Amino acid sequence: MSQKKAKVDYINKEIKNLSREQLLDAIKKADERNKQIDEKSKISSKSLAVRAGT
Amino acid sequence: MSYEVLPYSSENLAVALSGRGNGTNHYVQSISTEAVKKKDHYKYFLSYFSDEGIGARTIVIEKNYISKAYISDYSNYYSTCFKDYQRFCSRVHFFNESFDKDKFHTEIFELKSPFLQNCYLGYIVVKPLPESIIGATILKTYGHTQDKQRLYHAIREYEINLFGKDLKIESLAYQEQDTVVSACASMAIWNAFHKTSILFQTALPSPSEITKLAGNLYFNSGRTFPNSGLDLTQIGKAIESVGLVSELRIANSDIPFAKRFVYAYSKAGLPVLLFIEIKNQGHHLITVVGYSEKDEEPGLKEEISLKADRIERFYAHDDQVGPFARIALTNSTALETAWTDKDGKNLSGSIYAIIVPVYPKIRISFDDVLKKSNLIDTVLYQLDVFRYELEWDIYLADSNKYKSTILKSSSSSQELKQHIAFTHYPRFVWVAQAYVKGILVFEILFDSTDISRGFFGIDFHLFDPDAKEILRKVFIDRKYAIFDDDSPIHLGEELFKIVNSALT
Repeated sequence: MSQKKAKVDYINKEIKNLSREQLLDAIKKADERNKQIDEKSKISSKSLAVRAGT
Repeated sequence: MSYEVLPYSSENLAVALSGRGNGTNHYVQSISTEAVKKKDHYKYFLSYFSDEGIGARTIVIEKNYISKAYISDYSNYYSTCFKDYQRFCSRVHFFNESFDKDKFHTEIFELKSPFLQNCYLGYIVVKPLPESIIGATILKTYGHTQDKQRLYHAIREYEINLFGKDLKIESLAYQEQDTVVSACASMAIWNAFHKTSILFQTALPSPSEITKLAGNLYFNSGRTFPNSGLDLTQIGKAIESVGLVSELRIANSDIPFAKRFVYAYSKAGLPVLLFIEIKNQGHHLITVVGYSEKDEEPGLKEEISLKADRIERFYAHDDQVGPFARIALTNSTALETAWTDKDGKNLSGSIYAIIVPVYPKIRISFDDVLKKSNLIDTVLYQLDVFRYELEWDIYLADSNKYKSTILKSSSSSQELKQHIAFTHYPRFVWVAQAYVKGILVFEILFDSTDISRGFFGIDFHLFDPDAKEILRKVFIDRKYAIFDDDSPIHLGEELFKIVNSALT
């Protein structure tokens, strides 16, 4: 990605006025969603026995 | 004569792959040109060498070639057959300039002439076997096209000696399974080992040795040879036998996850093994060596966006099709393989698992970095920091190569370049770069050798000074205190000090 192209004004003037508790709640919800990522590394012996051979 | 020069044509390609002299003597055990023309590989190579591909003009057949990969397989199996299989292969070279035998002969002895190097496209070893004739193959990749950026991170440089002439080519070795000493899985691992042996200085066993190293599991065929495939445990065992470990994920048809996972390791030059299921055919192992991306900005949304989401195709060595075969990622659960049915229609499939052979000290995985980035992304989204979607580029990097890239980049200040150049990093780092509208705003570096519970960032780099003030409000001001212990982000006190210093 090149930065040579004309620079876009991409930053908002002010951040949204959330309390720390509101922000931490949002982070905790995102942390819950993160648990779905861990599912991919839960591997059963049955899934290991699948053979690639075509 | 130990070689032949032929103009490139579909007929001469079939002759060269059949192992026959052009109507003259056999110099390896050959198959008929009619049999060659029926092979999917022949059809694939016809397209690959066409003008829409890499544009071959001349074929040079090097007779009586000893292939390192084949001679080991020969020793492990074919030499003890009653039938007299031959040891010698032929090596078929391709060039994108037209020339005759006299010109070729002259160029071999013109030591300073770059002619052959400039038009060299690589080679295919033809094995003296009844059907599985495609041996070690090293071919130039397709170049970039105007509309689609193809990136082949898993290729490496090969030095080739042709009658004393030194030639170089960037590629990754490929070959077809023989269904005797190796099936698709052993071949896909062999492809991958060609790169990992250079990256991590590990062993490069032959296909038959890989099959033996995978171990014999009796609930499969009950014997090592003839081999009908490897399961995930055997694949992991083969990878471990050369001193590497497998980063294994069961993708369960989740294409968006697969794109992100493959991208993150590919950028470090690692080949990625894709365990796919092809409709009505079964499970198959291929080696992803590159991908292409679409140029499409993500829209503003709550969920994290990654640069990897732009991938629309993988390029993979598929031993049943050919090298750099196109795998189209058609939707969030299915892909279009390079396999075709009798009507020439591509067969659909899905991704069952992903395996990355990595150096054991790379302990932190992509998932750990994604989870951290996800939380930081949430903070920036919830606080409405940017007008457009923040797009993360998350990848594993060799820290020395990372430093070289930064030193060459125009997006870093001299001060930042000096800081990065003289900071001591582990050999492999995880890089999480935050872009908005193509502008690199900041990045966080993570130690790949850490443990996931104490997994903290090791450095923070601000690339766009315009974002300093607002990022300071988010990361440093006491109002949010996102580095404190009660915040689930857990970025660590050390990183807080680094971020504080970068944003002051």
